[in-house]
Formats: sequence, structure tokens, C-alpha cells
Amino acid sequence: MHLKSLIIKMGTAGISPVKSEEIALHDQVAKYLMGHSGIIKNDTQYTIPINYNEAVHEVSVLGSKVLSQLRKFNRSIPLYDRVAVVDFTSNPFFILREPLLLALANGMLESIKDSTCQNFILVTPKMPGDEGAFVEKLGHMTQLAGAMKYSIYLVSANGGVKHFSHNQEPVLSKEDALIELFQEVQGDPLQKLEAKCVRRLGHFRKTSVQGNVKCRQFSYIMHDCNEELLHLLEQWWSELPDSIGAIVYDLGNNHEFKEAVLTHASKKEILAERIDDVLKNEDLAHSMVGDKRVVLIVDVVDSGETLQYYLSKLKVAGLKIHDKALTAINKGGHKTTLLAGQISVDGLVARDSDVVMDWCPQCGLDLVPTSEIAEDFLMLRTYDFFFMLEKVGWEAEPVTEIPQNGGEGYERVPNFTKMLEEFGDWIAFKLYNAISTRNVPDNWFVLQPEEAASSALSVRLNECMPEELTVVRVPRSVIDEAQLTGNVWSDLLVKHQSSEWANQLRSMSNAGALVLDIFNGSDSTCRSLKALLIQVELWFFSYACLVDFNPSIERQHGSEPVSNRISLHDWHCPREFRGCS
Amino acid sequence: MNLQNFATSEPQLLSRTSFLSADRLSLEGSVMTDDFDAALIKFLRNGDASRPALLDMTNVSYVDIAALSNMIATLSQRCDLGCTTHLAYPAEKSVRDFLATWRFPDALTRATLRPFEEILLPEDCHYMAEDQTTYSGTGDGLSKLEFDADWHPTSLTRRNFFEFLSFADGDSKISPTQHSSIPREEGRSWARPLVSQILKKHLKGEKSRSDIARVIIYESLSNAVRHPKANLIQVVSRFSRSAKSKDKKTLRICVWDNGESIIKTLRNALDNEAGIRSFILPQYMGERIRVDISKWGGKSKTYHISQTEEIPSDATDARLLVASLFPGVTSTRLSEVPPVDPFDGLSSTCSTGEEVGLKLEKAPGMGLYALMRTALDQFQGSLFIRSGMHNLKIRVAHDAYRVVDSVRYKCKITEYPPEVPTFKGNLLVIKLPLREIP
Repeated sequence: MHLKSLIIKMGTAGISPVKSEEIALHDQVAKYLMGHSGIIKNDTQYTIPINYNEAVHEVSVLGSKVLSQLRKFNRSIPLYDRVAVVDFTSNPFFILREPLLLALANGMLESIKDSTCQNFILVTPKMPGDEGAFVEKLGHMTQLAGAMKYSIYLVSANGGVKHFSHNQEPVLSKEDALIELFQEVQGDPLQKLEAKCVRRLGHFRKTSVQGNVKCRQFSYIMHDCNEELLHLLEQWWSELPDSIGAIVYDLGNNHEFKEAVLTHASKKEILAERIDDVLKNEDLAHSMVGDKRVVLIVDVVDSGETLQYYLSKLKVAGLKIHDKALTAINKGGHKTTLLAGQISVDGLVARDSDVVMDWCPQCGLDLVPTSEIAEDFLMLRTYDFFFMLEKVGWEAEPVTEIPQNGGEGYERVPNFTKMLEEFGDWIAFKLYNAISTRNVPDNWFVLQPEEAASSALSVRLNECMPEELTVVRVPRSVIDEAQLTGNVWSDLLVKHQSSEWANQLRSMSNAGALVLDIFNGSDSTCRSLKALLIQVELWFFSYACLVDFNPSIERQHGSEPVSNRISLHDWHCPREFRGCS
Repeated sequence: MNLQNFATSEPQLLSRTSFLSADRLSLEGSVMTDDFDAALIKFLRNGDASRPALLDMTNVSYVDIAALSNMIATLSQRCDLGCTTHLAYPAEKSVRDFLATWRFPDALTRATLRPFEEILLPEDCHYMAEDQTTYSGTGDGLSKLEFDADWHPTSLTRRNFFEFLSFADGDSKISPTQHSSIPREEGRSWARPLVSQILKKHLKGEKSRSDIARVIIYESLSNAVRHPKANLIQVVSRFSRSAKSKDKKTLRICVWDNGESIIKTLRNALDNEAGIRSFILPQYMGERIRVDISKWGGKSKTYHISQTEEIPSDATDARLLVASLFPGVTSTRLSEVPPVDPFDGLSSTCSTGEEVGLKLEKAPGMGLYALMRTALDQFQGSLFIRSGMHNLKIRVAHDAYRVVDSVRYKCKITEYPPEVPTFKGNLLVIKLPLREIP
């Protein structure tokens, strides 16, 4: 059997290499559905991007891209041995527009009619509706394909299968074995949640329920993790006794977790109310009093003071509180803690306790409190930047990363690699927020030098994105070559035409680049990459870096400053002034 | 209107009593879109259209969100024409609370570009300071979606998931280049687990609820953002569970844009001799529709049409309005129409993948059709469109019509009387039935 894996990535500008686990999954699914026991060959290398503009205005491009890939089947392979797996599962279901799927159906139909490929496995996150236009079209394939043979499996990641073929009516089935296969590739929900639990720095001031004012330097925010929280909550709930009948919660600062709790309560058809409402509303409290026990759910537990306060108040109101509570974040380093022998607390994730401060240095400096639920500032506060710097220290700028066309290397720069290891989740989160405030084009990607810290930053940034971002990394040695020739890229593109970065750039059209670097000293790297964009007929929409050592608009030698800049911290020490004493 | 109030040297504040009965759009009891239209027509027939008007909601006990969208469009148009309109707020608190929770004042301001306090009668302005008490956010999941008691102005989420949303050019959040992100981002909101769970619990049938976000929300907004000259789009929705509403039990989703009418857009394409059919349909798509067309308050004439029929260059506005729902109908047609299904026989005419790609590109016109299939066939709901001088209501034909007329859909088109101005923009209302929940 010969497979073509057509992994569709919606909202991405360019191609990226396919993952081996995705290929392996397709092989297993094909074997399972088609009863094949022999060797499967699959030489797919890259994904198929459909950018947002195409998804709205040029839907037919999906059909043409699929057909184009299928035409790469070696003609010597028998038709019955060719299988196309069209995989949409790395996209959210809502983004798979019906007109887009109809365009796919058109491409498949053409492929069937001209004997390019007759066997298809379409994998979607959920099953499209039976009466929808797409499934209707699949149901009429026999009428449309004439006398041609075909077999189309429409498979959803939750195990639903619909089989359409030339010689029978559509067959529906549920295949639990497929669910397990898909879950292995989708990743562990807990690992995903850990990556989306961001530790923020700031000046977080909170008044406890007892009226005490406390300041903290760290606060956690969980973003875009509704599904993971729901999965873990359901897992935790499954181990509770049947005597649980309601939930009371305090989740005002964790909207994601609150949604998960309310979703679960709705599924279970049990009450779920805010603790504040229950304590203020006697009727509401009364509705929760009975034989059934009530589970307490909060967003963070540290000392447990607030939880115990709630416990005592709710008991006075007559509620029977279950002796196990749940929190999204359990501080103190352990996922489960016991509070004063009364109640144990399970956390979905564990984090270190807050540092107890007798005196808040930020209050001493009159720094305004920062928000618990959103980033107040687009850039890093100086206090936070120097706190991070103190933790990670300095290092000499790596020699291999010094641009060839101007200035000396920095003797000391912050140890950005360590900074990203320690604080990268928050730095990426801030950068994502800053980028989101700009006129971000629908079709954009990241272009950067292939360097350790820069690459680490784009990996972290991708964790914040709703859909996968295409990242093109150009080796520093190639950028050096360009800079030595005055940023002329034409010959270099020929020389490196089979490289991954060149392939990626060729796969894109009408896309805007965010040039991303870890720090800026002289604008020279950005200028080089801008010249590359012009050569490949793509456009530049913004430049972003963690630290800008060259934020001033004054330039020497008549050079124009790079416009549309985003930086998280500015520190005037431009590279071209180095060596002046 | 009693002009004597304005003859004195001291300016007198407008009040309900400043307006004669003939100068009011009086709404009473449970108000649906048709009720608002009836009140508007009565007002227009009683005098000059440009005279000051009072939209009197004093005695309203329930108001449908489609009626609110209709009101917003009408008031916005009157502002454009320099006609003064004032609003008398409902006496019933629960209705005022509904308007506040759904952010109707903001929506009206965004559409008219006038502060709400300028439109509201001075004697009712004190209502803007009252606390809302009807929606507490306690109760089931739907109640929680309707009012988030934890909401704060700096929150990144909406206080009421279903509230009026306005997307305008020049918004700090939405730029012209991001207009096309509206369907995607709103589709993302409707795909979240809590909303999906609520849809699963309340919508009738066992069908794929995920198609609400993927098809209904996405395609209705995708259609709106592409209407020429649309620089404001408003979306609002509501689960109607109230026994006293005429809604019966439905989920209603309304999308209004202030762009060019669908009818005019298609008419322009026809007049340019470009045609509006992007390709000729395969036979299985040739569903028949029973169309009853009437003038406002008049008798109807019945026609039976097929989705595959050629749309003539002299098609009436009513014909164009229903044709907008046909598969493959668009104002941005291919420059040449292939004789059969556009992708048939491509390999014999194209020698390279690039040529295939060019031929396959731009076969639009399936968005509204996909929406209709999902709303009507999948969820047994209905669509309402208000555009130009017409409104259209369409649903799956019931057994009697299916058997007798061999039609799949039943459609009613009403033409408004000539004194009614052409509707500003396009209003699309999707209605989906809910199940009975004990």
C-alpha cells in the first residue's frame, strides 16, 4: 500500500515538516480500516497549509492542493494500492468550513475520475452533520463519479466512521480502537495544561476574605486550556463517590477553569454556584442542603486560609462539604495537601508557594498593583526585567551570532537562554499580547535567525497561538553570507534551494513576516531578513525582539530605522556605538 | 407632534406627551419583528416620513432580538436621513434588565453614532443608573452564560455570551485587515466546551451541535463581512425559554450588517452581464422550493422553483432574494461558466497541476447554501432575511407540502409597501427549535 499523508494546517502560511508520529498514525488507521497487513510506504515530507485568506475567499485551493499532491503518486503504483489520508485533526473543528470541505470533495472527485487516486481516508476532529452539504455530496459520489470505483472513509477523532463506496450505500460504525490511536498522538492533557499555565511577574495585591492585604510577586494565568481542564476535572471527578450532588466554587480569576467546572456540572446535571452567592442568598444555600455532599473548587490554594474560611462559613450555612476539594493550582510543591486534618486539596498542577514578605519592596517603590487576570502593560516593567536579569546573569554575546556588517560584539548581554528557560512562558505570553495589538494580517509567519535563544522564543510563542504558526529559521551562516554581499539574496536562494527554510519560503504567497530575534543591536539582522523577503516576494509586517538595544530613531550613516517594531524592553546601547570611549 | 411645546421661550424637555399617537411607533405586549414592521408602516402612513418619531416601548412585556436588530437598522437609517427618533423605555423592569444585559443601548449607539441618552426620552434617562436584578448568574449553565457574575470591565470575556456584539471599521480591536477574522473568532467562541454543552442540552434532535459554530455562525458572519460597503456588523443571540414569548422555544441568532443589500449586489452582477451562477449544479442539488409571494397585507401567489434553474437577467427582487440561498450563486462569478460541473474533465483540458489549480480557484457561492442546509435540514429550524424591500422566511416543507408539491423547502416572501424606505443593510435571523426540558 502506498500512502500520501495530506496533513492540512489551517491558518498557517507555509509548509512545515510532518511529524513521524503523524505518519505512523496514518499507517495504522489505513491498516485498520482497509484490512491491510503488508508494508505501507509513505514518503510525505511536508504539511499542506491553507491560510485564512484562502479559507474565506479561495476555498477551492484546498481541492487543487490535494489534487496536486496526489498527482505525485508514481504512475507505476497500481491504482488500488494508492491511498490518500487527508488529516484535519490538528485544526479545531469550527474552522473547517463547509465550502472548504466541498472543495475537497471536488478535488477527490476529479482524482477519482482521472484515475489518480480512488481510496481516501478523511480524518476530522468531529463528524460533520449528515444533512450538511459536504456529507450530502459524499453520499452522491457514485452519481457524480460515473462508473469509476472509489472508497471514502470519513473518520472522526472520537471513533465515528462513515464509509462511502461505489458499490454500496453509506455504512456507519463506531470504532473504539481508533479513539485510542488518535489519543496517543493528541498528547497528554496534563502536559498541555502545564505548558499553558503561565507564571507572571508583577505586583499582585490581594485582600483576603479576612481583610488582610497581601502582596505577591508571582501570579498564574491559564490560557486557552478549556479542553485540558475539562478532561482533567472529569478524570478527577470519576474517582469521587456517588454521594456528590453539587459544586460551590470561587473561580473569579480563572475563567478557563470556571468554564470547565460549569460544563461538567451541566453534563452531570448538578448545581454549581459561586461561594459568594451561596453565602449571601439563603434560598440558594438551602437548595444545596440535603443528603448529597458538595464539592469545593477554587483556583489557587497556598496557605489554605481562604479555603478554610469558606469551609467554616459553608458549614454554618448547612452545606455538607466533601472532605476533598479541588484547585487548579496547588502551591507548596505538592499536588495534594492536607489542611489542618479537615480537608484534603487536590491540585491539577503544583507550583511553589508564595514567598512570605514582611515588607513589599514594590509597595515601597510605589509601584501600582498589576491585574490578576490580564496583562496591564505591553512591555516588561523595569522592576521585572532586572529581577529576571538578577536570576539569570550575564554572558558574552556568542561570536557566531555577531552580524558581519557592522559593530562589535557585546561583551555582556543577559543570559537569554537561561532567561527563556526560567521565564519563557511569560515572556512569550507578553510577546503574544503585544503582537495581538498590532494590525496582524490574516496570513503571517515568523522569520528568524536560527539561533538557540531566538528559536526557543518562537517555540514558546507557538504555544500561545490558537493555530500553529509557521516558523522559518535561516541559519546565521547564511545571513552572514548575505550581509557580506550587501544583502543580495538571489544567488544564495539558488545555492540553498533544497534547504528547509528555502522550501518553506517558496511554499508561501501573499504572506506577511514577523521578523523575530532575541535582541536587537543594530537593526542589521532585521534588514538582512527584510531583503530576503523582498527577494521571495513576501512582505514584512513587524519586527519583534525581547530587548531592543537600539530603540532610538536616530541612526548613523543615513540608514532608515526599521519601522513597526515591538520590543518588551528598551535599553539604549546600540551596537554601532560600541567601541566609542 | 404637539409643536406648542416648542413655541415658548424656555426649552421644554421632550416627554411621552410631546408626541401624538400618530407620531408614535407603539409597541405593546410581546414584540416580534412583524410587530415592529406593522408599527413602522402605520407611522409612515400617518404623515411625512421625516417627521420626529417616538419609538414607544412603554408597554412592552417581551421583545424578540430580531425585532431589536430591526429597530437598530431602522433608527440608524433615520439618523442617516436626518430624521429625529426618540425612544420611550419599557415600564416593566424585567424588560429593561433584558435590554441592559444584552447591551442594547451600546448597540444602538454604535449603529446610530449618537449617545443613547440623546435618543432616550429625558424622563427615562434615570433608568440608565438602575441596578439590573433579573439576571443573577445563578442557576443552570444557560443562566451562567447569560450573566457572568464575576465579570469585570477588564475581563477578556463577555459579561453575557449572547449580548450584542458590534464589529466596526475603525474599531481598536478590529481593523479593516482583520474584518475577515470576525467569522473565525466568533466561531471559536461558539465552539468552546460550555457553549457546546448548552447547545447539546437544549437543541432538539441528536445532530452534530458542533455545526452551529462551524456552519451557522461562521457562514452567517462570513457572508456579512463580504457585503459591499459593510462597515458595521452586529451579532446577537438568545435562547428563548419564556412561556410568554411568541418565540416559542428557540435559539435565535441575528446578524445585521449595514452594507449593500444582497438583492442589489446580485442585481449589479446580473446587470453587468456577468451572471450570478458560478457553475451549473449537479442534478442532486436541484431541490424544489414552494415560494409564496405577497405584498404586505395582501394575498399571496404561489410559485415552484428549482435551485438548478437559470436565473434570468430580468429576475425580480424577490427571485434574487431566494436565489441568494441557492448553491453556487454569488456576485463574484467566474469569468466563464463551464458547461457542466466545473471540475469535470479537467484533466483532459489541463496538462499541469497549476492549470488545474487555476480552474479550481474561486468557485464561491456555497456559504449561504451550507448555512441553509444545516439550519433547515439538520436542525429543523428556519431562516429569515430582511433586505431591500422584502423579507423572506424559509423552512423545510412539512409532509403535506412535500407530498403534494414535491418540494423540499417552503418559502414566504413579503414585499413592503412603497412608503417603507429600503431596509438599511441585511438582517439574517436563524431560528433553531429547542427541546422541552422538565
